Amino acid sequence: MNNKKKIQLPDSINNLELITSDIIEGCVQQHRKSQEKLYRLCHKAMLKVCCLYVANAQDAAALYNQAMVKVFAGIAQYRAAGAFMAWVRRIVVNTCIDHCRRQAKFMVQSIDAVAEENYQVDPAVYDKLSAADTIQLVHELPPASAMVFTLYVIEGCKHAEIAALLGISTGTSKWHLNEARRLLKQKIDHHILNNKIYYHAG
Amino acid sequence: MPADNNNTDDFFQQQYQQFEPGRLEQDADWQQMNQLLNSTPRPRRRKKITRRIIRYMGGLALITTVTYYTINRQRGARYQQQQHKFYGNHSQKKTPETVPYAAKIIQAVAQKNTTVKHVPLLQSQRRSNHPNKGQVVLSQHSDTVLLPRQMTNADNSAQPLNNFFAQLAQPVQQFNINPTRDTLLLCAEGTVLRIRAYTFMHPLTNKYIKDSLVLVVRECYDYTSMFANQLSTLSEAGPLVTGGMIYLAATISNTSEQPRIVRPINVQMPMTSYDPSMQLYLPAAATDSSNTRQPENWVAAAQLQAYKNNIIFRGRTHIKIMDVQQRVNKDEKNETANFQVQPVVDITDDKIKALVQNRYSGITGRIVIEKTMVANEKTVLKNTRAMATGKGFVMADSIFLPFTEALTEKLISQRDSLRFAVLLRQDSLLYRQTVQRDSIAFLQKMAFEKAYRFNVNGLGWINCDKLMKPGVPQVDFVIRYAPGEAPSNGLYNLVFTNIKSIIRGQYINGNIHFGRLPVGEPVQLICIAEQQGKVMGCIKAFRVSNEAAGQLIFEPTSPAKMQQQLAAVDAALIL
Repeated sequence: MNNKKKIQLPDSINNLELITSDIIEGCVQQHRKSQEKLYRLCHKAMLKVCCLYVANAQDAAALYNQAMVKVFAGIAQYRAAGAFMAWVRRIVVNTCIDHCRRQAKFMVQSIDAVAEENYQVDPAVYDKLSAADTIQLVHELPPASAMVFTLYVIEGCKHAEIAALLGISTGTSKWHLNEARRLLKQKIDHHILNNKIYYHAG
Repeated sequence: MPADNNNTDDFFQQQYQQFEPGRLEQDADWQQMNQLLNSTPRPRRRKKITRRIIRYMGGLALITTVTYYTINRQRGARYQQQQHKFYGNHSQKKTPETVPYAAKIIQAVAQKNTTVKHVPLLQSQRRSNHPNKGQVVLSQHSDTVLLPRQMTNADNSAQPLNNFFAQLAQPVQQFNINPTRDTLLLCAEGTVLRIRAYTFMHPLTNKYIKDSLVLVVRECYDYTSMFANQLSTLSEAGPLVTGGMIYLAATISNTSEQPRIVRPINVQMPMTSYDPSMQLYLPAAATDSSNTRQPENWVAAAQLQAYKNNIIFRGRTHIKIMDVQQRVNKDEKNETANFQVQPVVDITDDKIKALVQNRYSGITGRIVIEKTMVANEKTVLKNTRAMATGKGFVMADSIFLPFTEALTEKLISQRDSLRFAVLLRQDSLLYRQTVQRDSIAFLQKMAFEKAYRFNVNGLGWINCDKLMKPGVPQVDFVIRYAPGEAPSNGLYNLVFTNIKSIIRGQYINGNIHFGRLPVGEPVQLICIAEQQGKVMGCIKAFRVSNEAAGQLIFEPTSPAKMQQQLAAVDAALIL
């Protein structure tokens, strides 16, 4: 069950090659042009991350700006030990988590108390879903469950890490993940029956 | 598409990889970001500023140290010059200017035939601020002797008796004192008065009197002086046995104003045989220095001679609880016990940890020693639950709590409570033994000093008394004689031979009544009356009984003759 694949970095990470040490040094010196270059280079990839946590694109842009303020403020503390983009991504994700945690209310339930439910969905339905529809379905989940699902599935975090990040127990994290999966399958089936989605389908 | 969870997760990951955000307006977003960056203050370079501050502080500290050293050196040199100027060289012959001030006083007092005694100064805020603090306090005998007191009775018929008593009375002692100094007064009969500085206050202005003050003292320790001052030792509770009576009065110099006492005057009354049951009695009707009338009824002032220890021993009501703050980290499975210790503890942390480990053998985890400044007991109890005992430091794993509170908070168990009860009982016994030992020591001290001590908060008459034989049956003693045999305007006093007590009788229908006297006590009746313009006296021995006595023989007497007779009665007094 734990054969989960590690998440691959997005394509835009290729822009890393363009993020030179001069740009980082310029940002440390608080040069505005260097900051603008870095901002534009990270914009696409990090906005995609933000869109996972908030449904509205403008809110995602605001979150990205908020995260980049933190990046520019703390870039002097960045050590070249790891990948720069991964460091920025961690700040962006943390900013998104802080934003979502204010809205999410975690139900204190353990996975032991909830029976795992296997909701069967017709496999052919998955082919009809587009990427935007899939993200939209995640946004329709309860905030807490959506956040746990995103952290577990997209970010590749373990339950212990999620629990530490969100300040909940691992049992609660497991419960939210299971609840998110159940709701997602239910929503897919429900929406297909009512022909409500597929507006992004090719 | 598989429907199990792993495949669902893979599906969402793939969809996320393919996801492209619909809105990519970099320019607009950067404009907003630019505004954000402009509004955000740039972080300062802390390192350089910190270094600069450290550099400035160091320079400032260096300058301060050099300045302080220089000033102190100059001041020390100036002080040495002053010392040399004041005392001069040791080889130099002493001049009057070089004689110490105390020696001057002793020399001056010796010329006036007065005695000087060093008195330990009592603690007082005002005295500590006084410029003359620490100097010797003079004790003195009376400066002048006043004429005998004049009777205040305005009855013309009693004029011969008034003159008689005025001649019989002993001289009054008068002291001129400086009320801004601690003063020790030695009276003629041995009474010692300790008057603290700033004891007297002006009655009208309510300011401390700083000018000279006249203090008048009368001492009555024998039957002669008591009879002359027409005193009686009778209280509502019964007749009293006296250890002496004193009259105090004070007037502000050059005025007739009588000051108010704001601090107690310590009175030490001499005695021949110590009786611990003696206590202070004051007149039932308050008498001040202006009221020279003799009190007819005394009331106990609740000042016993016996030693009383009023120290509240807190250990009897509080319990010391060990306050171990243990924190257990669930993930690391480590146990940490925190102990607060005062910073002044002169033990190394390792030693403290060893002590703690020895005290709490159950601690298997980490022991953390925190240095905590203990400021105030209440604050500490409220905040950190650590306290100092006042005897130094305490490893602040301990708190003092009322026993009930400790039980309520379940800081102690039932077993602890039983153990505490045993300790409490031992503690109480020890406390009682301490008080008893101190009481005995106090009584021995008083017996050695041969004096009774009281603190009086007012002027007028004071009396050192005890109740006369409370366990012995008492009767009303009546002396009868034929009408016309004795005049009704006389003064009839009954004095005791075995105990010092003088009781005034009441003339009722030709009889003299004395109430509630112990049966079988040998007494002497001393009468003074006026007959046909002459003062007549009568002294006769009786024994107190239910039966009436009589056969009084009055003879003409004089103050000198009466004084001799009273002296004989005093001499016959068995104490």
